[in-house]
Amino acid sequence: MKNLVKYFAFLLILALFASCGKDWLDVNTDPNNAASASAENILPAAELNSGIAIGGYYNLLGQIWSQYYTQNSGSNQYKYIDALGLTANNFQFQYGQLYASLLNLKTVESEAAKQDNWAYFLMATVVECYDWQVLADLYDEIPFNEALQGVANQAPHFDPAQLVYDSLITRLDYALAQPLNVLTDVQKTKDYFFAADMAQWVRFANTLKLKIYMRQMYIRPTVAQAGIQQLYADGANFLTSDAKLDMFENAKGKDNPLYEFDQRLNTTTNLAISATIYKYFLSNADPRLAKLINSGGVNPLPQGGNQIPTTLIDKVITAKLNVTDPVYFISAAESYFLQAEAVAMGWGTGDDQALYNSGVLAAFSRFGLDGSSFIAPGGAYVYHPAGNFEQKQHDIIMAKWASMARAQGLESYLETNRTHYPIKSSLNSNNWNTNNFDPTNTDYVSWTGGERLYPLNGSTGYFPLRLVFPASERLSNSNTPAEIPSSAHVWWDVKP
Amino acid sequence: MKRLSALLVLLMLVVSFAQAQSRQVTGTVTSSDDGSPLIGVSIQVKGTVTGGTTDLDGKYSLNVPANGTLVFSFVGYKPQEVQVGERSIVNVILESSATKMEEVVVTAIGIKRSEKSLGYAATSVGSDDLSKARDASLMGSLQGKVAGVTISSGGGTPGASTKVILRGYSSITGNNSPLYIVDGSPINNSQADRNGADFGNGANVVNPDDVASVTILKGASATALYGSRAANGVIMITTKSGKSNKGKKITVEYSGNATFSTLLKLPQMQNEYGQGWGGVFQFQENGSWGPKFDGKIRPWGAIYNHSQQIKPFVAEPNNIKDFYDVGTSYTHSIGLSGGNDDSNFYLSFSNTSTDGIIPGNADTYVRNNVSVKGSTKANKFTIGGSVNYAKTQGKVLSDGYGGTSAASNLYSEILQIPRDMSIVDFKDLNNPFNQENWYFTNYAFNPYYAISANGNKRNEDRVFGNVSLDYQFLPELKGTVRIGTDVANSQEKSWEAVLNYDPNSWANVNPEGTKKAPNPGYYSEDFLFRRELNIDYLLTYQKDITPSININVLGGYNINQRNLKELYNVANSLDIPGFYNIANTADPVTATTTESIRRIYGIFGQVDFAYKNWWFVTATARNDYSSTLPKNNSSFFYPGVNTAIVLSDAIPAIQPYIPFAKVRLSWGRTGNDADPYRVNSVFEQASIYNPYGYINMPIGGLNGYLASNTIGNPKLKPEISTEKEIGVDFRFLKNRIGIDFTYYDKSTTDQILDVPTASSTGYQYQTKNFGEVQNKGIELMLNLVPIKTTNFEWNASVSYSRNRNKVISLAPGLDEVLLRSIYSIDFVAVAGQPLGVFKGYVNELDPQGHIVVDANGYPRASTTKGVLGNAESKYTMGITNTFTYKDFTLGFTFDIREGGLMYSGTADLQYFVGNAPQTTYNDRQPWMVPNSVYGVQAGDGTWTYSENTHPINYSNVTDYYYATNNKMADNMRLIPRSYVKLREANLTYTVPKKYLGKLPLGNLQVSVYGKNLLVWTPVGNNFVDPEVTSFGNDLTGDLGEFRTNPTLRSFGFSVKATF
Repeated sequence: MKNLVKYFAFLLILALFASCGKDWLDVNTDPNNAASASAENILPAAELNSGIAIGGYYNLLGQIWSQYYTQNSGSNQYKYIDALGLTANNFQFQYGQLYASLLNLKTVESEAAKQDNWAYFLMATVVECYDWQVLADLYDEIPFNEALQGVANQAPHFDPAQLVYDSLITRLDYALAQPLNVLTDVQKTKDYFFAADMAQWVRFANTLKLKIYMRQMYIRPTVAQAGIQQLYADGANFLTSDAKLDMFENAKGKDNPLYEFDQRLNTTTNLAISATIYKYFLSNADPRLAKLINSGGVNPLPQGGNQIPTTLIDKVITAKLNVTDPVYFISAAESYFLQAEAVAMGWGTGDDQALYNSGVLAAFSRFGLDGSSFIAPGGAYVYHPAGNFEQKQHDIIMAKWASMARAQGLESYLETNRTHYPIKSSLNSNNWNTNNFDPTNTDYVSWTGGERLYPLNGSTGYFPLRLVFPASERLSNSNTPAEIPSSAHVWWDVKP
Repeated sequence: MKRLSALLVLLMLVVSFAQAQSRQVTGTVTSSDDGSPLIGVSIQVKGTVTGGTTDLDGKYSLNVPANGTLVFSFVGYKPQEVQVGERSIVNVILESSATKMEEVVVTAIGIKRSEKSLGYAATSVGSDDLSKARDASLMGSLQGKVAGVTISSGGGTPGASTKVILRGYSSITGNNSPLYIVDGSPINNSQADRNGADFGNGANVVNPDDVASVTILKGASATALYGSRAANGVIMITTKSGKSNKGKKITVEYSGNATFSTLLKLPQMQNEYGQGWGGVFQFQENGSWGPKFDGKIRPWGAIYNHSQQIKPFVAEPNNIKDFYDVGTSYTHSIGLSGGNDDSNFYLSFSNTSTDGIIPGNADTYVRNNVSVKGSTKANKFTIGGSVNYAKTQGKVLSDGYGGTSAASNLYSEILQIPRDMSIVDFKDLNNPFNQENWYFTNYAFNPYYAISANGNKRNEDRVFGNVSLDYQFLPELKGTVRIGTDVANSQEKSWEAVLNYDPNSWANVNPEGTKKAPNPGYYSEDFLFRRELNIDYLLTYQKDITPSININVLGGYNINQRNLKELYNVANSLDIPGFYNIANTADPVTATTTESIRRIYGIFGQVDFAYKNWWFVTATARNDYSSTLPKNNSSFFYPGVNTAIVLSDAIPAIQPYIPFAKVRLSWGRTGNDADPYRVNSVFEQASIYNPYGYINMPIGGLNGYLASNTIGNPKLKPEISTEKEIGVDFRFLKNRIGIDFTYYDKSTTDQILDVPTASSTGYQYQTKNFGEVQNKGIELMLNLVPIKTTNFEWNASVSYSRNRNKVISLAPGLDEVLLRSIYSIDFVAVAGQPLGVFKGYVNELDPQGHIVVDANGYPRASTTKGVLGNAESKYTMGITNTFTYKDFTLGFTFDIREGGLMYSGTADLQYFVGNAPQTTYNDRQPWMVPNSVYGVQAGDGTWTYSENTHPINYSNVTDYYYATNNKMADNMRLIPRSYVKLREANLTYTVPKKYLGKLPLGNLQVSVYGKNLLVWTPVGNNFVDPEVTSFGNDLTGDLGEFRTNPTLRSFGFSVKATF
């Protein structure tokens, strides 16, 4: 009995001790996630986060709208993209994903600035400005100055893209003006792009500035000209190698984001090669065609031709994607093409033909191919140095378009809107394939590959020029402007 | 059995002192009704705590002081006081009371109260009702029997979870599941569900044979003593205890069941059209969109080694039914109990072994339970305790959304087999045509392959129980410490076979040019440890202030801690096929650990006041301090008050007309605590959403972190429910008619929800408190005894519930909250509507209201989505009839639900592949949408309409039923949720004692029973049993089902014997 009394008393005391006061309740610190993270912890994740949006679904959008790839017959996954009529519910996730990247890049910048770690500051700023430009180019008006403030401002106002553009130049200039610090060995490893090789990052920043200026060529030629001339006057170096994320692994959840969602589902045949790029490459005997397609097919699919019954079409050539494909931000070829165009315009110094040729060679060498015969006299892609600017721009942008297949779909689509190359065909997919795809059809034979076709089953009647504001933003942000249809030009899209 | 439960309850109440100077009195207690002995009658020496109970023969034996008075009391009988005088044998006949209102009910914190005194609705169900038609889960056997309680099961998987919702949903995205309390201590009821494998909910491990009674406390006043955990009601489970049993040393109870299950409801299917697509026979298609059956011999499926299979083109109407086996389930349960005046024990062992209807042993459930319970008194101490050990082993196939690749949802594979194929003929996996390389279609997998190549297996060891120590400070004052725990340790494994296709196989080379993606194999292991620790300190004081005024005072202190630790390892590819080991992979194993801890302490009190045994008032209050709330704001107060007035006792003059009448009124407040770690913002290891999956760091040797996309809330509060309740209880005609009616009005405010924020803030969500959800409803129980003669009795009871749920408000600026969507159907919370509204595309209409069609003849969908209906039922009803003739009892229960919609993924697939009978509309010939116009919209948004000259042509008929082409098609997947079920039927024969003769048997009962025997659904649902869900055990479960394994009809027999 005494034992029982003791036991009772013991339990009572034990329990009372276990529960004294508010400290006992102080267990609400999440053990599964970190309370804080340093610039080094965040930077690579923010780079990846941007890359997944740009190299993933945005890339797919561009691959289809640039008419490299199209939804395969008998499958439905991306049909809505081919049909062109995107709604406010499409691509809202990617929109949010870029803002999430921007928030994290902002954290890197503020942490880095506190420690005078201007190298990290520059890296974060370049990726940040790249992301902002994508958003501004897709939506024209975006929350910018008031964005990324969390609960402090839950209804940021939208700013016009011109303001964004000007601010991006300011931000890049500020970051470039800071003294670069020496990084520790650990700090150097935490960058996917260039392993913190800051000379490369400066090139990346300069090339991005060039891209930002070139986009304004028609709307603000004086601003573009002055900016580019200043770059050249300052002796700016541009990218000669790719700014890309090239660390993907052949493993689920660690691979190229486009490959991950397209090829790891129940079918690997969701995408077919579009007749537009197929015929262009075929007629030019371009060996890069083989790098875009899987073996075994016979015919490409006209853009938007997914409704053609599987039984009525001879084997469709499916699109090739590789599990470890890099995600390109700015490729070396793109850098050369931008420079070539600037020089052709008379704003940059140098030899536009040489720059163009370097671009074509870089585009071929991406696949380990030699493109020199194509730029040699009589070659399919030979530059016209004697032509007017329009002729030169045509050469440059067609080469750029050809270079961005399976890599930079979104940028290609934006450049097409800026320059109107590749041109729209007067035909559309309907001309030869309501019921069947017949490669001997006279319309198909007369059509020049590389001319954009209005897709079969297109629902808009026009090629979209922007995305409509995301529904998720409209639902929660009362300052979202009234819907602007996708037929409206964005601010820089004014080429006559 | 009611006697037994009362006995158990009374036993617990009895506290005895060691006595001296007394003598032995013995006797028998019998019933005035039929002279049968009464078992478990409580006998107390008046003015003392000495007492005992009668044994199985109605006999008792007590030490009684000289000139003592014995008080005999028994539930359902009028108490009787007897002066012992000089007698040593005192036989007593108890008269049954007019009402059964003296019945004791277990209320919050384990306090026993007479039902009569309760100011709120409390339903208590005894073990008899729980075991009539054997259900694998305890709560499953209450289906259709209790008003205000919705119980549904997750489909035909053995051991599947049972969803219980009391009085509707009140939390938008929080938890709506009631709190389960076993013998005074809470247990974990979370659902184990990874990869779409439903391994059941936590409360399912309670062995139904161990349960003496279940009390359901629905309202906030009834549950306010549980404070921040009680907003969804409380289910109080009391297990069996040993009984003081002088005559024999030990009582042994055995019960055994054998149950056999078959499919209850399969989709109705058309048997007119066979394999093909677009009206054309195609021998590699997974649909029945081909031509009409003509009986001609046709080749079909793959061409393998220059040969192809042939068969006549005829329907196989029973191909799915033939695929499934008869499921079996066997249960053996043995319980030993005994005791004396001071001590008792109960010990049981039970084994349940189930093999489901899927061929082979892919779906099995084995559970072994061991329970030990005992208590002993020593002087002023009573010490008691119980330990329950449950080991469950389950194997299931993923269903619903489960699995990481195709072929892991068996039912999907079955549903898309054309109507002309015999599924059982796919069984031989050595036959090349049945192998995945050469299976007839590239769009689906051989079901037998799905069984052999995928699976999930789970083992759980679970221990729950408590120890308690009572100390009787004074006759009126008792102190109790009760320490309870629930510890569960489980391992779950999931696997998918490596599948590579021969490059020249049909899977890669076929007329459609499709290629199947190889499966690199998959294996995962999930180790989960959960522990709940609960300590209660109670002080109870009982005093009769005057003979007509009694008070009970209770004060208490509660400490609760819940821990979880999980390690989840995934290998996304396998090296050696068939070797399921986490290291058998070239890819890095993804390991995730999750830990959580939450703590609450609460101070509570209750005062019961009774006046002349007809007016009762109870006031309760609890203050909780919770670790999951902000530190400086962690305290919340939960008051409650209720009163009961027994009119028939207050005004005896009405008794000739209404023998029993009672009015109840109550008000209370309860909470739904925040989850842990919602206060502070965090950084998460980068796991970045990429459509249909995630890209996870580390990649390329680098790790990284990102800010969580949800902003924490340093001002977080619990969800608060406030509920008013009024009820009446009337009994007429000697208890032959009883009506119990309740009206309640519950409002839940400060909903905790991750509210979407504009992406441009940098975040996607913020955890917020906002809004209000209201549940109003009525509950009606009608108990009838239409016929009662000496040999024959007919009992009928009807339970009717009607809950009206309404979202009163959402956060400012928030029009709706998306709960979940499936294809174009959204399941949302909208202000002014019931929680759980279906939204989808609606027909575009011209100004005259005609349906606008497009060039293909399909109806055009409006650009914005409209409300299509909601998931709420208009009412639910249960009807139970029990007929007793001599020793035979026949009972059956109908369960009825009316109203509401659900999404059916089964319907979706049936429409898509052309197996649904609806797809034979107009003989699949071209037709025009009735009452329609053709409309085109110009670039400026204006419409022009003209006469509809656009029929849905022959090849488009197929596409009409699928949303990719006809956006409106998803609406066909919303089907009525109404049903009428013959929920159970049972016939029991209690072998009379005279036949048992010299056998060492005290009691022998044999039963045959059936469960879910029949289901009737309205015309719009020829697809599924509307009870199945695939979306969890809470509100989103009401969205519907996604190709969940079909439910079962079961039959069985049982034997119960007492030795």
